Amino acid sequence: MSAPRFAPGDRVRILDIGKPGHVRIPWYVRHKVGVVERHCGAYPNPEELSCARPGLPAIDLYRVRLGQRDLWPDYAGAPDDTLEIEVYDHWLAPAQDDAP
Amino acid sequence: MTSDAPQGQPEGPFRGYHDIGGRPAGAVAKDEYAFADWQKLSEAMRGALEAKGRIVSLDEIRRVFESFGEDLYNTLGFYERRAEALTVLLDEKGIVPRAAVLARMEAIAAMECRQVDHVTKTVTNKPTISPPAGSAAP
Amino acid sequence: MTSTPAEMSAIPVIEGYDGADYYALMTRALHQILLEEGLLAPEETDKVIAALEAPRPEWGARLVARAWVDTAFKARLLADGASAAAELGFTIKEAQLVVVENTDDLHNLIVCTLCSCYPRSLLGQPPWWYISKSYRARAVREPRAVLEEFGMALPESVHVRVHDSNADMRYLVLPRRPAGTEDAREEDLARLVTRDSMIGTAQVSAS
Repeated sequence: MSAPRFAPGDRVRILDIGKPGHVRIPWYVRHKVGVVERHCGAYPNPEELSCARPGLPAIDLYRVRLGQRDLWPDYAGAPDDTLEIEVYDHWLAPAQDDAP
Repeated sequence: MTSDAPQGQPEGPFRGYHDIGGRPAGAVAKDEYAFADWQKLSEAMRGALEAKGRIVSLDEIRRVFESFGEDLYNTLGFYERRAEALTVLLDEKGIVPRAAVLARMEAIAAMECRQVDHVTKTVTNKPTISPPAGSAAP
Repeated sequence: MTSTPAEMSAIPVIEGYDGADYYALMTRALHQILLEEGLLAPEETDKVIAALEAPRPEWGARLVARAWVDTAFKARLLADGASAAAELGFTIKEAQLVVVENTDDLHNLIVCTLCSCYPRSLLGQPPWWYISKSYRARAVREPRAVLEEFGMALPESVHVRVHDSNADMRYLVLPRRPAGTEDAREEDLARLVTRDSMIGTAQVSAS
């Protein structure tokens, strides 16, 4: 198995891969930029499992930390509140170029 | 319903009706209910079939209730939609025809003097026929 | 955030109970057919039911209490929840148990917005409010308002971190050990730990 593409601390953009059917990446994090919190291991692709296919090879899964203010412009809590969510590798792109 | 998309961001074509994170909703009700026997059996059938050569899988169940229609999704509770999805999935896979399940429901209900309405998804007691007034029992 | 009445009614507040009779009957009917067709044997569902009934919040509470009294165990629990749980005899059947620690300035809250993922093999079935569409919808966008409804008004100085349990991981909050329990025994500490405190909608209190 190849090394994970991302390491903790990497800035990543969560993609919207425009895929109908069963996907596990909710709408509200798509197009958002966050930071990899950890690599969780590799797991069968649920998009494939949902159609009774094996979902292999397993896909790297990461936990990504996002700022609540980046998710919801009208967020009413503290400015540095965060949210963490799991994202499969094929839903991620490097976001170094997006650094402010 | 107005879009709750953040300003300037289109709500993409593939936001499922189950993908409700961030939608406005009312207060969280904190009522507690028991884990009913039928809910345990329903979950156990799915679990046992999954353990048995992956005849069904939870990801397939999710795919089914994410596509069986928004009205039904909004009407059904957690265990109800998983039970509905199990029946739909077994039919889809040619393992148990849905018509056979619905017919069996009617047969069980009839034995218990009840009737099933598959449209409203209700089970009610059959109206009892009262003897005409004045008639004496033999 | 304000919601119009029309929007509020768009998502049922609590998971419906009205369809229960119908789906109880459907479940009996399907079970009969599966048995008759030889697709399942009675003992196969009995075994799964036993596995569904066994886990309970007290199991998670034992992990929390052990972490409070044993810093080395706490480090192992935070690094690899499933392996640490196995040390106390609990088998985590999900891929991994991610344990997140509350501190004086960080509060964690768990939700699954897409369905209702929950560490069932440790804590049992989730509470009904956790599977309600209202909690799923709101916890990610207005966690502080939701926490207030649970009686926890947090100051802005406490950072709130929401975890959307959307894929393979399952989550357990390690709540703060209440003040005044420095001398308490591990088993007494475990009795203080509530289900909700391990989801993040409650604090643990000393009594």
